[in-house]
Amino acid sequence: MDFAFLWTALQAAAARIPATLSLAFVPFAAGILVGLPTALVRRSSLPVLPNVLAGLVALIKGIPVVLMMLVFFVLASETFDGFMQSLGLPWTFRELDKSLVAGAALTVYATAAMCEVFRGALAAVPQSQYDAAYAAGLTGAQTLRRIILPQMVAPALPMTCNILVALVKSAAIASLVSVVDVMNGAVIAAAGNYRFLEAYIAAALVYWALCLLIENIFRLAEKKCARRFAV
Amino acid sequence: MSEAVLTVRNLHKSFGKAEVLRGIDLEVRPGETVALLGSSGCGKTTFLRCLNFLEKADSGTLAIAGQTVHLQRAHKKDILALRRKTAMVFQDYGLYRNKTVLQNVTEGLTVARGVPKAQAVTRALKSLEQVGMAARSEAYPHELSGGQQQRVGIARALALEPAVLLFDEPTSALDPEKVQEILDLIRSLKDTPTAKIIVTHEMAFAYECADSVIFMDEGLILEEGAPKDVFGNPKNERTRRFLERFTADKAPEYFI
Repeated sequence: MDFAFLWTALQAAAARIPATLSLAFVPFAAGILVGLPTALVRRSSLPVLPNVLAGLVALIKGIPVVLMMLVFFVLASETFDGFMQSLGLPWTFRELDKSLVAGAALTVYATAAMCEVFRGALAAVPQSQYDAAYAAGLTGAQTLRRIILPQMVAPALPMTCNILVALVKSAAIASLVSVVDVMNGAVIAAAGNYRFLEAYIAAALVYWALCLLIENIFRLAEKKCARRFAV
Repeated sequence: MSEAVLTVRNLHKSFGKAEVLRGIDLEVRPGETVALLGSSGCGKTTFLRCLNFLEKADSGTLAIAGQTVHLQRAHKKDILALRRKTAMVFQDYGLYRNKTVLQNVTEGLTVARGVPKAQAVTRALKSLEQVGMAARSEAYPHELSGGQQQRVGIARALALEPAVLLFDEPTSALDPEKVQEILDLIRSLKDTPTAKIIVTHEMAFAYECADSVIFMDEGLILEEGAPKDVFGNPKNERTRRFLERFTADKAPEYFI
Protein backbone atom coordinates (compact mmCIF):
# COMPACT_ATOMS: atom_id res chain seq x y z
CA MET A 1 0.00 0.00 0.00
CA ASP A 2 1.37 3.35 -1.06
CA PHE A 3 0.19 5.65 1.73
CA ALA A 4 1.76 8.72 0.20
CA PHE A 5 -0.25 8.16 -2.96
CA LEU A 6 -3.35 7.32 -0.94
CA TRP A 7 -3.06 10.82 0.54
CA THR A 8 -2.63 12.33 -2.94
CA ALA A 9 -5.65 10.42 -4.25
CA LEU A 10 -7.66 11.43 -1.21
CA GLN A 11 -6.95 15.08 -1.95
CA ALA A 12 -7.83 14.62 -5.61
CA ALA A 13 -11.12 12.92 -4.63
CA ALA A 14 -11.96 15.51 -1.97
CA ALA A 15 -11.42 18.29 -4.50
CA ARG A 16 -14.38 16.85 -6.43
CA ILE A 17 -16.79 16.84 -3.47
CA PRO A 18 -18.66 19.88 -4.88
CA ALA A 19 -19.30 17.97 -8.15
CA THR A 20 -20.63 14.93 -6.30
CA LEU A 21 -22.72 16.98 -3.91
CA SER A 22 -24.33 19.02 -6.67
CA LEU A 23 -25.03 15.78 -8.57
CA ALA A 24 -26.79 14.52 -5.44
CA PHE A 25 -28.46 17.63 -4.06
CA VAL A 26 -29.87 19.16 -7.23
CA PRO A 27 -31.75 15.93 -8.15
CA PHE A 28 -32.66 15.56 -4.47
CA ALA A 29 -34.23 19.03 -4.36
CA ALA A 30 -35.99 18.43 -7.68
CA GLY A 31 -37.15 15.05 -6.36
CA ILE A 32 -38.79 16.74 -3.37
CA LEU A 33 -40.36 19.48 -5.48
CA VAL A 34 -41.88 17.04 -7.98
CA GLY A 35 -42.25 14.00 -5.70
CA LEU A 36 -44.46 15.74 -3.14
CA PRO A 37 -47.18 16.90 -5.56
CA THR A 38 -46.95 13.53 -7.30
CA ALA A 39 -47.62 11.75 -4.00
CA LEU A 40 -50.51 14.13 -3.27
CA VAL A 41 -52.09 13.53 -6.68
CA ARG A 42 -51.68 9.79 -6.26
CA ARG A 43 -53.60 9.99 -2.99
CA SER A 44 -56.33 12.16 -4.54
CA SER A 45 -59.59 10.96 -6.05
CA LEU A 46 -58.86 12.53 -9.46
CA PRO A 47 -59.66 10.34 -12.46
CA VAL A 48 -56.90 8.47 -14.35
CA LEU A 49 -53.96 10.67 -13.29
CA PRO A 50 -53.18 8.81 -10.01
CA ASN A 51 -52.98 5.52 -11.91
CA VAL A 52 -50.77 6.98 -14.63
CA LEU A 53 -48.37 8.37 -12.02
CA ALA A 54 -48.39 5.09 -10.08
CA GLY A 55 -47.46 3.27 -13.30
CA LEU A 56 -44.65 5.73 -14.07
CA VAL A 57 -43.21 5.42 -10.57
CA ALA A 58 -43.35 1.63 -10.76
CA LEU A 59 -41.60 1.75 -14.14
CA ILE A 60 -38.80 4.01 -12.90
CA LYS A 61 -38.31 2.01 -9.70
CA GLY A 62 -37.69 -1.11 -11.76
CA ILE A 63 -34.81 0.35 -13.81
CA PRO A 64 -31.22 0.47 -12.42
CA VAL A 65 -29.93 4.04 -12.17
CA VAL A 66 -26.85 3.13 -14.18
CA LEU A 67 -29.03 1.91 -17.04
CA MET A 68 -31.16 5.05 -16.94
CA MET A 69 -28.06 7.23 -17.07
CA LEU A 70 -26.59 5.35 -20.03
CA VAL A 71 -29.89 5.53 -21.90
CA PHE A 72 -30.09 9.26 -21.23
CA PHE A 73 -26.50 9.60 -22.44
CA VAL A 74 -27.10 7.66 -25.67
CA LEU A 75 -30.34 9.51 -26.35
CA ALA A 76 -28.66 12.85 -25.74
CA SER A 77 -25.67 12.00 -27.93
CA GLU A 78 -27.97 11.00 -30.81
CA THR A 79 -30.54 13.76 -30.64
CA PHE A 80 -28.94 16.78 -28.95
CA ASP A 81 -27.11 18.25 -31.95
CA GLY A 82 -30.05 17.90 -34.33
CA PHE A 83 -32.42 19.35 -31.77
CA MET A 84 -30.21 22.37 -31.12
CA GLN A 85 -29.76 22.91 -34.87
CA SER A 86 -33.50 22.88 -35.42
CA LEU A 87 -33.80 25.54 -32.72
CA GLY A 88 -31.02 27.52 -34.39
CA LEU A 89 -28.81 27.30 -31.29
CA PRO A 90 -25.05 26.85 -31.59
CA TRP A 91 -24.61 24.32 -28.75
CA THR A 92 -23.27 20.83 -29.50
CA PHE A 93 -23.27 17.61 -27.53
CA ARG A 94 -19.47 17.58 -27.42
CA GLU A 95 -19.45 20.84 -25.46
CA LEU A 96 -22.44 19.87 -23.34
CA ASP A 97 -21.68 19.53 -19.62
CA LYS A 98 -22.27 15.78 -19.19
CA SER A 99 -23.17 16.26 -15.54
CA LEU A 100 -26.47 17.68 -16.85
CA VAL A 101 -27.20 14.31 -18.48
CA ALA A 102 -26.19 12.47 -15.32
CA GLY A 103 -28.21 14.92 -13.22
CA ALA A 104 -31.30 14.38 -15.36
CA ALA A 105 -31.14 10.61 -14.85
CA LEU A 106 -30.59 11.01 -11.11
CA THR A 107 -33.51 13.48 -10.96
CA VAL A 108 -35.87 10.94 -12.49
CA TYR A 109 -34.71 8.38 -9.96
CA ALA A 110 -34.96 10.85 -7.03
CA THR A 111 -38.46 11.95 -8.04
CA ALA A 112 -39.81 8.40 -8.03
CA ALA A 113 -38.04 7.61 -4.77
CA MET A 114 -39.23 10.77 -2.97
CA CYS A 115 -42.76 10.23 -4.25
CA GLU A 116 -42.75 6.87 -2.48
CA VAL A 117 -41.31 8.44 0.68
CA PHE A 118 -44.05 11.08 0.75
CA ARG A 119 -46.71 8.48 0.01
CA GLY A 120 -45.59 6.59 3.11
CA ALA A 121 -45.49 9.77 5.17
CA LEU A 122 -48.99 10.74 4.01
CA ALA A 123 -50.31 7.35 5.02
CA ALA A 124 -48.76 7.88 8.47
CA VAL A 125 -51.10 10.84 9.13
CA PRO A 126 -54.43 9.45 10.36
CA GLN A 127 -57.74 10.40 8.75
CA SER A 128 -58.85 11.92 12.06
CA GLN A 129 -56.43 14.82 11.46
CA TYR A 130 -58.19 15.70 8.20
CA ASP A 131 -61.61 15.29 9.84
CA ALA A 132 -60.71 17.60 12.71
CA ALA A 133 -59.35 20.28 10.38
CA TYR A 134 -62.30 20.13 7.97
CA ALA A 135 -64.78 20.14 10.86
CA ALA A 136 -63.12 23.31 12.18
CA GLY A 137 -63.78 24.93 8.79
CA LEU A 138 -60.27 24.84 7.34
CA THR A 139 -60.06 24.63 3.54
CA GLY A 140 -58.29 21.74 1.84
CA ALA A 141 -55.20 23.86 1.20
CA GLN A 142 -55.09 25.16 4.78
CA THR A 143 -55.47 21.63 6.12
CA LEU A 144 -52.63 20.40 3.95
CA ARG A 145 -50.27 23.25 4.74
CA ARG A 146 -50.94 23.72 8.45
CA ILE A 147 -51.90 20.26 9.68
CA ILE A 148 -50.89 17.47 7.29
CA LEU A 149 -47.53 18.56 5.80
CA PRO A 150 -45.97 19.41 9.19
CA GLN A 151 -46.96 15.97 10.44
CA MET A 152 -45.35 14.30 7.42
CA VAL A 153 -41.88 15.59 8.28
CA ALA A 154 -41.13 13.20 11.11
CA PRO A 155 -42.24 10.00 9.34
CA ALA A 156 -40.50 11.09 6.12
CA LEU A 157 -37.10 11.89 7.62
CA PRO A 158 -35.54 8.39 7.96
CA MET A 159 -36.37 7.34 4.40
CA THR A 160 -35.44 10.77 3.01
CA CYS A 161 -32.01 10.33 4.56
CA ASN A 162 -31.72 6.93 2.88
CA ILE A 163 -32.60 8.42 -0.50
CA LEU A 164 -30.09 11.26 -0.14
CA VAL A 165 -27.31 8.86 0.84
CA ALA A 166 -28.25 6.62 -2.07
CA LEU A 167 -28.08 9.65 -4.39
CA VAL A 168 -24.61 10.64 -3.17
CA LYS A 169 -23.41 7.12 -3.87
CA SER A 170 -25.30 6.85 -7.18
CA ALA A 171 -23.64 10.07 -8.29
CA ALA A 172 -20.49 7.94 -8.68
CA ILE A 173 -22.13 6.37 -11.73
CA ALA A 174 -21.79 9.75 -13.42
CA SER A 175 -18.10 8.87 -13.87
CA LEU A 176 -19.34 6.47 -16.58
CA VAL A 177 -20.48 9.43 -18.68
CA SER A 178 -17.14 11.21 -18.14
CA VAL A 179 -18.24 13.52 -15.32
CA VAL A 180 -15.35 14.21 -12.96
CA ASP A 181 -16.80 13.58 -9.52
CA VAL A 182 -15.23 12.16 -6.35
CA MET A 183 -14.90 8.72 -7.94
CA ASN A 184 -13.44 9.95 -11.22
CA GLY A 185 -11.20 12.44 -9.44
CA ALA A 186 -9.50 9.63 -7.53
CA VAL A 187 -9.29 7.35 -10.58
CA ILE A 188 -7.73 10.07 -12.75
CA ALA A 189 -5.08 10.62 -10.06
CA ALA A 190 -4.10 6.96 -10.44
CA ALA A 191 -3.96 7.09 -14.24
CA GLY A 192 -0.18 7.68 -14.18
CA ASN A 193 0.90 5.02 -11.71
CA TYR A 194 -1.90 2.43 -11.94
CA ARG A 195 -2.31 2.45 -8.15
CA PHE A 196 -6.08 1.98 -8.51
CA LEU A 197 -6.56 0.20 -5.20
CA GLU A 198 -5.33 3.29 -3.33
CA ALA A 199 -7.52 5.48 -5.55
CA TYR A 200 -10.62 3.39 -4.85
CA ILE A 201 -9.91 3.37 -1.13
CA ALA A 202 -9.48 7.14 -1.22
CA ALA A 203 -12.83 7.55 -3.03
CA ALA A 204 -14.49 5.17 -0.56
CA LEU A 205 -13.18 7.19 2.39
CA VAL A 206 -14.60 10.41 0.93
CA TYR A 207 -18.03 8.83 0.24
CA TRP A 208 -18.02 7.31 3.68
CA ALA A 209 -17.32 10.68 5.32
CA LEU A 210 -20.01 12.42 3.25
CA CYS A 211 -22.65 9.82 4.07
CA LEU A 212 -21.74 9.82 7.75
CA LEU A 213 -22.15 13.58 7.82
CA ILE A 214 -25.55 13.43 6.12
CA GLU A 215 -26.78 10.69 8.43
CA ASN A 216 -25.76 12.64 11.49
CA ILE A 217 -27.49 15.78 10.28
CA PHE A 218 -30.68 13.78 9.74
CA ARG A 219 -30.33 12.12 13.12
CA LEU A 220 -30.26 15.56 14.73
CA ALA A 221 -33.32 16.62 12.75
CA GLU A 222 -35.16 13.46 13.79
CA LYS A 223 -34.35 14.11 17.44
CA LYS A 224 -35.61 17.67 17.16
CA CYS A 225 -38.86 16.46 15.60
CA ALA A 226 -39.33 13.82 18.28
CA ARG A 227 -38.82 16.36 21.04
CA ARG A 228 -41.44 18.67 19.63
CA PHE A 229 -44.17 16.18 19.02
CA ALA A 230 -44.26 12.43 19.17
CA VAL A 231 -45.91 10.79 16.21
CA MET B 1 -90.97 27.77 20.99
CA SER B 2 -88.00 29.17 19.08
CA GLU B 3 -87.28 28.33 15.46
CA ALA B 4 -85.07 25.38 14.57
CA VAL B 5 -81.35 26.13 14.21
CA LEU B 6 -80.80 22.88 12.33
CA THR B 7 -83.26 21.27 9.96
CA VAL B 8 -82.66 18.08 8.01
CA ARG B 9 -85.15 16.85 5.41
CA ASN B 10 -85.15 13.43 3.78
CA LEU B 11 -81.42 12.80 4.03
CA HIS B 12 -80.16 9.77 2.08
CA LYS B 13 -76.68 8.29 2.02
CA SER B 14 -75.30 5.16 0.42
CA PHE B 15 -71.86 3.58 0.55
CA GLY B 16 -71.73 1.80 -2.80
CA LYS B 17 -74.83 -0.39 -2.89
CA ALA B 18 -75.45 -0.27 0.84
CA GLU B 19 -77.98 2.42 1.73
CA VAL B 20 -77.00 3.44 5.25
CA LEU B 21 -79.32 6.43 5.70
CA ARG B 22 -82.79 6.04 4.23
CA GLY B 23 -84.53 9.36 4.67
CA ILE B 24 -83.73 11.14 7.91
CA ASP B 25 -85.68 14.16 9.13
CA LEU B 26 -84.59 16.15 12.13
CA GLU B 27 -85.19 19.53 13.72
CA VAL B 28 -83.08 20.91 16.51
CA ARG B 29 -83.75 24.19 18.30
CA PRO B 30 -81.12 26.50 19.79
CA GLY B 31 -79.86 25.28 23.16
CA GLU B 32 -81.51 21.90 22.73
CA THR B 33 -79.60 18.70 23.50
CA VAL B 34 -80.41 15.75 21.25
CA ALA B 35 -79.09 12.26 21.98
CA LEU B 36 -78.73 9.91 19.01
CA LEU B 37 -78.94 6.27 20.11
CA GLY B 38 -78.81 3.00 18.26
CA SER B 39 -76.73 -0.11 17.83
CA SER B 40 -73.38 0.01 16.05
CA GLY B 41 -73.83 0.26 12.30
CA CYS B 42 -77.28 1.83 12.49
CA GLY B 43 -76.00 4.95 10.73
CA LYS B 44 -75.98 7.42 13.59
CA THR B 45 -72.32 8.40 13.25
CA THR B 46 -72.65 8.61 9.45
CA PHE B 47 -75.68 10.85 9.93
CA LEU B 48 -73.74 13.12 12.29
CA ARG B 49 -70.84 13.29 9.83
CA CYS B 50 -73.24 14.24 7.04
CA LEU B 51 -74.22 17.32 9.05
CA ASN B 52 -70.74 18.83 8.65
CA PHE B 53 -69.98 17.16 5.32
CA LEU B 54 -67.28 14.81 6.60
CA GLU B 55 -69.50 12.42 4.66
CA LYS B 56 -71.30 13.69 1.60
CA ALA B 57 -74.97 12.82 1.72
CA ASP B 58 -76.54 11.78 -1.59
CA SER B 59 -79.75 13.76 -1.30
CA GLY B 60 -81.94 15.77 1.03
CA THR B 61 -81.75 19.30 2.38
CA LEU B 62 -79.83 20.69 5.31
CA ALA B 63 -80.38 24.07 6.92
CA ILE B 64 -78.16 25.44 9.65
CA ALA B 65 -78.67 28.87 11.19
CA GLY B 66 -80.50 30.31 8.22
CA GLN B 67 -78.47 28.75 5.41
CA THR B 68 -80.09 26.00 3.37
CA VAL B 69 -78.41 23.65 0.90
CA HIS B 70 -79.63 20.83 -1.27
CA LEU B 71 -77.25 18.06 -0.37
CA GLN B 72 -76.97 16.53 -3.84
CA ARG B 73 -75.57 19.76 -5.20
CA ALA B 74 -73.72 21.36 -2.31
CA HIS B 75 -70.84 23.51 -3.52
CA LYS B 76 -67.46 23.87 -1.85
CA LYS B 77 -68.38 27.38 -0.72
CA ASP B 78 -71.67 26.25 0.86
CA ILE B 79 -69.94 23.35 2.56
CA LEU B 80 -67.28 25.62 4.04
CA ALA B 81 -69.86 28.17 5.20
CA LEU B 82 -72.03 25.49 6.83
CA ARG B 83 -69.04 23.81 8.47
CA ARG B 84 -68.12 27.13 10.03
CA LYS B 85 -71.50 27.21 11.79
CA THR B 86 -70.73 23.87 13.42
CA ALA B 87 -68.02 22.26 15.51
CA MET B 88 -67.34 18.61 16.26
CA VAL B 89 -65.98 16.59 19.16
CA PHE B 90 -64.51 13.27 18.07
CA GLN B 91 -64.40 9.82 19.57
CA ASP B 92 -60.60 9.69 19.25
CA TYR B 93 -60.23 13.41 20.17
CA GLY B 94 -58.51 14.25 16.85
CA LEU B 95 -56.27 16.94 18.32
CA TYR B 96 -53.74 18.28 15.81
CA ARG B 97 -50.61 16.40 16.80
CA ASN B 98 -48.25 19.11 15.55
CA LYS B 99 -49.88 21.87 17.58
CA THR B 100 -49.97 22.78 21.25
CA VAL B 101 -53.19 22.73 23.24
CA LEU B 102 -53.59 26.48 22.77
CA GLN B 103 -52.84 26.29 19.04
CA ASN B 104 -55.35 23.47 18.69
CA VAL B 105 -58.04 25.79 20.00
CA THR B 106 -56.99 28.96 18.14
CA GLU B 107 -56.46 27.24 14.75
CA GLY B 108 -60.13 27.21 13.72
CA LEU B 109 -60.58 30.78 14.96
CA THR B 110 -57.63 32.46 13.26
CA VAL B 111 -57.32 30.34 10.11
CA ALA B 112 -60.92 29.43 9.31
CA ARG B 113 -62.79 32.41 10.77
CA GLY B 114 -60.26 35.22 10.48
CA VAL B 115 -60.38 36.13 14.18
CA PRO B 116 -57.36 38.32 15.08
CA LYS B 117 -54.68 36.38 16.92
CA ALA B 118 -54.90 38.19 20.27
CA GLN B 119 -58.66 37.87 20.38
CA ALA B 120 -58.43 34.18 19.42
CA VAL B 121 -55.99 33.51 22.26
CA THR B 122 -58.31 35.20 24.75
CA ARG B 123 -61.27 33.14 23.56
CA ALA B 124 -59.20 29.96 23.53
CA LEU B 125 -57.94 30.48 27.08
CA LYS B 126 -61.50 31.14 28.23
CA SER B 127 -62.65 27.82 26.72
CA LEU B 128 -59.66 25.98 28.14
CA GLU B 129 -60.46 27.50 31.54
CA GLN B 130 -64.02 26.23 31.19
CA VAL B 131 -62.83 22.65 30.66
CA GLY B 132 -60.06 22.90 33.27
CA MET B 133 -57.15 22.68 30.82
CA ALA B 134 -55.83 26.26 30.80
CA ALA B 135 -52.78 25.20 32.83
CA ARG B 136 -51.69 22.82 30.06
CA SER B 137 -52.08 25.26 27.17
CA GLU B 138 -48.43 24.85 26.07
CA ALA B 139 -48.50 21.03 26.14
CA TYR B 140 -48.59 18.88 23.00
CA PRO B 141 -51.44 16.34 22.66
CA HIS B 142 -49.14 13.34 23.16
CA GLU B 143 -48.25 14.67 26.62
CA LEU B 144 -51.89 14.48 27.74
CA SER B 145 -54.07 11.59 28.92
CA GLY B 146 -57.15 10.58 26.93
CA GLY B 147 -59.50 12.41 29.27
CA GLN B 148 -57.39 15.57 29.08
CA GLN B 149 -57.24 15.36 25.29
CA GLN B 150 -61.01 15.11 25.12
CA ARG B 151 -61.33 18.16 27.38
CA VAL B 152 -59.17 20.06 24.90
CA GLY B 153 -61.27 18.64 22.06
CA ILE B 154 -64.36 20.08 23.74
CA ALA B 155 -62.65 23.43 24.39
CA ARG B 156 -61.61 23.56 20.73
CA ALA B 157 -65.23 23.10 19.69
CA LEU B 158 -66.63 25.55 22.26
CA ALA B 159 -64.22 28.34 21.32
CA LEU B 160 -65.70 28.36 17.81
CA GLU B 161 -69.05 29.35 19.37
CA PRO B 162 -70.89 27.19 16.81
CA ALA B 163 -74.62 27.25 16.22
CA VAL B 164 -74.59 23.45 16.38
CA LEU B 165 -72.15 21.33 18.35
CA LEU B 166 -71.72 17.74 17.17
CA PHE B 167 -70.45 15.04 19.53
CA ASP B 168 -69.43 11.76 17.94
CA GLU B 169 -69.29 9.20 20.77
CA PRO B 170 -67.19 11.56 22.87
CA THR B 171 -66.61 9.04 25.69
CA SER B 172 -66.24 5.75 23.80
CA ALA B 173 -62.42 5.78 23.96
CA LEU B 174 -62.19 6.62 27.68
CA ASP B 175 -61.97 4.55 30.86
CA PRO B 176 -65.11 4.49 33.05
CA GLU B 177 -63.83 7.10 35.47
CA LYS B 178 -62.97 9.55 32.70
CA VAL B 179 -66.29 8.84 30.98
CA GLN B 180 -68.06 10.35 33.97
CA GLU B 181 -65.76 13.38 33.98
CA ILE B 182 -66.38 14.12 30.34
CA LEU B 183 -70.13 13.53 30.64
CA ASP B 184 -70.24 15.95 33.57
CA LEU B 185 -68.42 18.47 31.44
CA ILE B 186 -70.90 18.05 28.57
CA ARG B 187 -73.74 18.27 31.08
CA SER B 188 -72.38 21.61 32.25
CA LEU B 189 -72.94 22.98 28.73
CA LYS B 190 -76.64 22.30 28.94
CA ASP B 191 -77.74 25.88 29.33
CA THR B 192 -75.62 27.36 26.55
CA PRO B 193 -77.41 28.66 23.43
CA THR B 194 -75.59 26.14 21.22
CA ALA B 195 -77.63 23.21 19.96
CA LYS B 196 -75.97 19.90 20.82
CA ILE B 197 -76.32 16.61 18.96
CA ILE B 198 -74.66 13.73 20.75
CA VAL B 199 -74.11 10.26 19.35
CA THR B 200 -73.62 8.11 22.41
CA HIS B 201 -73.95 4.71 24.02
CA GLU B 202 -74.27 6.27 27.47
CA MET B 203 -77.94 5.58 28.11
CA ALA B 204 -78.07 7.06 31.60
CA PHE B 205 -76.54 10.25 30.27
CA ALA B 206 -79.02 10.43 27.40
CA TYR B 207 -81.87 9.86 29.81
CA GLU B 208 -80.80 12.52 32.28
CA CYS B 209 -79.29 15.12 30.05
CA ALA B 210 -81.00 15.12 26.64
CA ASP B 211 -84.06 17.19 25.84
CA SER B 212 -84.94 14.73 23.15
CA VAL B 213 -83.79 11.23 22.33
CA ILE B 214 -83.65 9.70 18.87
CA PHE B 215 -83.41 5.98 18.32
CA MET B 216 -82.03 4.93 14.95
CA ASP B 217 -81.98 1.52 13.32
CA GLU B 218 -80.94 0.45 9.83
CA GLY B 219 -80.70 4.00 8.55
CA LEU B 220 -84.07 5.19 9.83
CA ILE B 221 -85.31 7.07 12.87
CA LEU B 222 -87.54 4.57 14.66
CA GLU B 223 -88.39 6.59 17.67
CA GLU B 224 -88.08 10.19 18.74
CA GLY B 225 -89.25 12.05 21.79
CA ALA B 226 -88.60 13.13 25.33
CA PRO B 227 -86.27 10.74 27.19
CA LYS B 228 -88.92 9.60 29.63
CA ASP B 229 -91.23 8.63 26.76
CA VAL B 230 -88.63 6.85 24.62
CA PHE B 231 -87.07 5.05 27.59
CA GLY B 232 -90.25 4.57 29.62
CA ASN B 233 -92.65 3.59 26.91
CA PRO B 234 -90.94 2.72 23.63
CA LYS B 235 -93.53 2.23 20.91
CA ASN B 236 -91.34 0.20 18.63
CA GLU B 237 -90.39 -3.42 19.28
CA ARG B 238 -86.81 -2.85 18.08
CA THR B 239 -86.38 0.14 20.43
CA ARG B 240 -87.80 -1.89 23.30
CA ARG B 241 -85.30 -4.69 22.69
CA PHE B 242 -82.36 -2.27 22.40
CA LEU B 243 -83.28 -0.44 25.57
CA GLU B 244 -84.30 -3.58 27.48
CA ARG B 245 -80.94 -4.21 29.10
CA PHE B 246 -80.57 -0.62 30.12
CA THR B 247 -84.08 -0.18 31.41
CA ALA B 248 -83.93 -3.50 33.30
CA ASP B 249 -80.67 -2.34 34.91
CA LYS B 250 -81.80 1.11 35.77
CA ALA B 251 -85.50 0.65 36.19
CA PRO B 252 -85.47 0.94 39.99
CA GLU B 253 -83.67 4.27 39.74
CA TYR B 254 -85.53 5.89 36.94
CA PHE B 255 -88.88 4.33 36.29
CA ILE B 256 -90.57 3.70 39.57
